Amino acid sequence: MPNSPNGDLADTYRRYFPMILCKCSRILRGSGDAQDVAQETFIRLWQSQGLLRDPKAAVAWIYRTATNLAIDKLRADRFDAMPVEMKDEHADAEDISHARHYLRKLAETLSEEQMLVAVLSRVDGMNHREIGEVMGTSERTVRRVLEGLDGSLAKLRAKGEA
Amino acid sequence: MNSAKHPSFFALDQAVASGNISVTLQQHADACQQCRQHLARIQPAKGVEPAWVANLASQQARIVALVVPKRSLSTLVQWLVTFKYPLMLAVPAAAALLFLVRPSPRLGQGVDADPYVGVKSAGPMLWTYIRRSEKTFLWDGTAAVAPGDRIRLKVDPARLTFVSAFSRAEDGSWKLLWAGRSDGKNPLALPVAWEIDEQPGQERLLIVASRQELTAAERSDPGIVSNNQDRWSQALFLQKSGHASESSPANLDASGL
Repeated sequence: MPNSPNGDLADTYRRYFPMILCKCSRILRGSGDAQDVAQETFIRLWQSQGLLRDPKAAVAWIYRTATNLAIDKLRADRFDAMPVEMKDEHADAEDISHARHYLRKLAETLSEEQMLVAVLSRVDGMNHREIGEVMGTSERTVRRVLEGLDGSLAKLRAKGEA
Repeated sequence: MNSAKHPSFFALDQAVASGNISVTLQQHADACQQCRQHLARIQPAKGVEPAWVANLASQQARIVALVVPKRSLSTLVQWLVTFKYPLMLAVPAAAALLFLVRPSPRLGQGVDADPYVGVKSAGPMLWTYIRRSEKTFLWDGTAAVAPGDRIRLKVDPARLTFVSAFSRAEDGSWKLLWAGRSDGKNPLALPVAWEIDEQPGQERLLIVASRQELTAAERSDPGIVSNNQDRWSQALFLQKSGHASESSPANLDASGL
């Protein structure tokens, strides 16, 4: 690590922030919330200096933390009196709004573990081994949670909520 | 992204972060536009870091300056033995002095308190974010805002579960911008943003966190809210760039951040 803390911070920002923002934008598309969550994730990463010694572990931590913070953000949408939506020139506004509404519905219904796995699997396209690495659990546990998730989604579809 | 065809975003991110992109991965990216685009997006950022990163650096520098240099146990014991008699006198004296000069708590502060944007060690906290064009940065408490800037607030209400945000109108009355509940545990980013208009002067905001909903009297004049165990208020004064500070106060339009 360089001696200058500021230089170190700038290097860490340049290296990790673009991927954090990309990760957050996949869940919180089309809003300034992605930037907020990315900043919060980066600040937490910076405060957990030990993580930076192992870049692969740091990325796994980023995926877990950013996903949990984004889910919190989606749940906080329940208080949304006047929705904040940024126009995304590269995406259809209706699709974004629908996707966000869908994820928010899921966040209100699924358990924290199920929601984390749902995002990592369905939004980030990760396989069981990768999800296990992010969650710190075995592939078997991931499979079990995904099976439970399928069951929960089927129930939601039956109710017409998903 | 289908893991059967593509490496996941996660695999690509780990490869870039570790600086170890395998030949197989590189060959796939060369042939796959989607993966190539993702790799381009997550390449290390270029240019100057945004203001909130600089703020983080300055906060860290202050913390580093406050950290007492580490001593080995033997050095510490030797030091205590050497100074035990002066310490026996100094510690009670310091405690007595602390008791005499301890600042009074910030109870009863009105809305004319200094703008607060930083982090407190305990109690509610407030962050003010400014989005200018495509960049969002943490307001430093002094920087001028410009027409078109979008203001977003995040509050850690510290066990207080109701949050209200007001702006001061030209006639001196307060206008409720947003009110809602927090879970009392996690910071709450207010789900609304306000765009700075082109009227000259100063934007004046008041954020109140409370254990119960504000009374009708408090809603109509939140300036009367006193800080105590059930109420916390914080005023913000945002000077518009290029305008005199004594000009007309806030006139905010609800808008997307």
